Amino acid sequence: MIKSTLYYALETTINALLRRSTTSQPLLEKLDNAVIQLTITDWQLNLFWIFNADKIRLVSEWDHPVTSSISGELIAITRLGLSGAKVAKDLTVSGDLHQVELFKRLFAELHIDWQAELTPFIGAGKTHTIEIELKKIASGLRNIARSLRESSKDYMQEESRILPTRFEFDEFSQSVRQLQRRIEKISHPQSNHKH
Amino acid sequence: MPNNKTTHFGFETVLEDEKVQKVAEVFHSVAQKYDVMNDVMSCGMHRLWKRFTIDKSSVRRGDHVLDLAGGTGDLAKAWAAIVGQEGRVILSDINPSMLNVARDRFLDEGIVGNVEFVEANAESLPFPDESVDVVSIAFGLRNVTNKDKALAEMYRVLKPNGRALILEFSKPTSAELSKWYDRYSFNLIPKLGKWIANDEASYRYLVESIRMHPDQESLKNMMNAAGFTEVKYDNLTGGIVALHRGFKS
Repeated sequence: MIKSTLYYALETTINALLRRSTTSQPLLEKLDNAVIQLTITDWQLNLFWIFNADKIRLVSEWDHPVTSSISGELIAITRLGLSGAKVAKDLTVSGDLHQVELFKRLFAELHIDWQAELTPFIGAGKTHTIEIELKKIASGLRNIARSLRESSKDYMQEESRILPTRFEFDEFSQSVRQLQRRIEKISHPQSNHKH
Repeated sequence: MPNNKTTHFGFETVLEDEKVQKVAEVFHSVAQKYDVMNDVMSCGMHRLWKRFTIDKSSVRRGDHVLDLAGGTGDLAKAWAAIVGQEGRVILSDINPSMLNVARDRFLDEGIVGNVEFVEANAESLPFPDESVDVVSIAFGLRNVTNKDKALAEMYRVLKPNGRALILEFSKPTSAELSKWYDRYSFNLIPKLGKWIANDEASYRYLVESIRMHPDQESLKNMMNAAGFTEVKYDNLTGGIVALHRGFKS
């Protein structure tokens, strides 16, 4: 029951996003009557996407034939929605492949004019200010990510320079063991005499 | 020849011929407050139970769906949105007061064109054989006097490969839950009926009628006896409610 409730919440959210996207309608029209079965193998979840004119329906069971199916692990299926990503090799796809491509594009090409959505609630001035601040934050995060990537490269290079090689480590270990044996001989001279 | 057979009306024993009238009186009385009482009594859960039914239904665009004991039309509204203008939904109920509430609600919400409202007894449906793809009945079967007859009628009107969906109160699967459920049902629900709908007796009947309804396995056997195949059920909320599904082969 929780699953059906969550699917309904997801369906409502997706339909709301699709209604607001300027690119979705032509793709939805092309997908009319399609039924795509999405199987998330690592979560053992089946999700049926039923396309109906200008919206989708999500259900967990479907007694009728499907027009295409996609199955794979969650991460592979999530990548399906990335713009520009080709349908990954780690996905199993069958049925109408053109539909699968349209399905992928539906999410990869989602374009929502957030300014138009927010303006009626908070006004154009505040919306514009929020957009500028969000762009600054996004730019800052990108800079941090780039800096981390470059720093980690330098860090790894320096570490690999000062870290001993395997050969050096083995030689060092052997020296330590030899020293240990000599110390034992000196500290137990009687046992040496007996033998 | 008068029918002297008896049946239950809640915990009361009545003549079979009387039950239909008594049930009609209950629903005439509760019709105007039916929706708000459903939300209050079930704490909104009835919406999740119906959502589960829709999820499991496989109803699709163009289907013909018969919603029996459809009441104020919760399920019928969902079916109408799914089947579209190519499909058809028949909202059927024995009680004209409930149908009037449904009709007004649908008009207010602009749901027109693919819904018909038919006053009918589930034991004797005025529809041709093999005329619908799906039959649904939500929280109505327990009010039917002769459930076997109703199941036979549901089977008759279904097309081959059609499916029946029966959402109804059932038996909780744990003794502890059963104890709390009984306390809630018998102590609180009639009081809520009195405060909100000004009708304690009708809500006492509704609570008692749940206890007289067949449990999950019994209803499954009844569906099998009526001819349904692949009958299975899902327990919801610990078995307080169950959804039974069966197919006509």
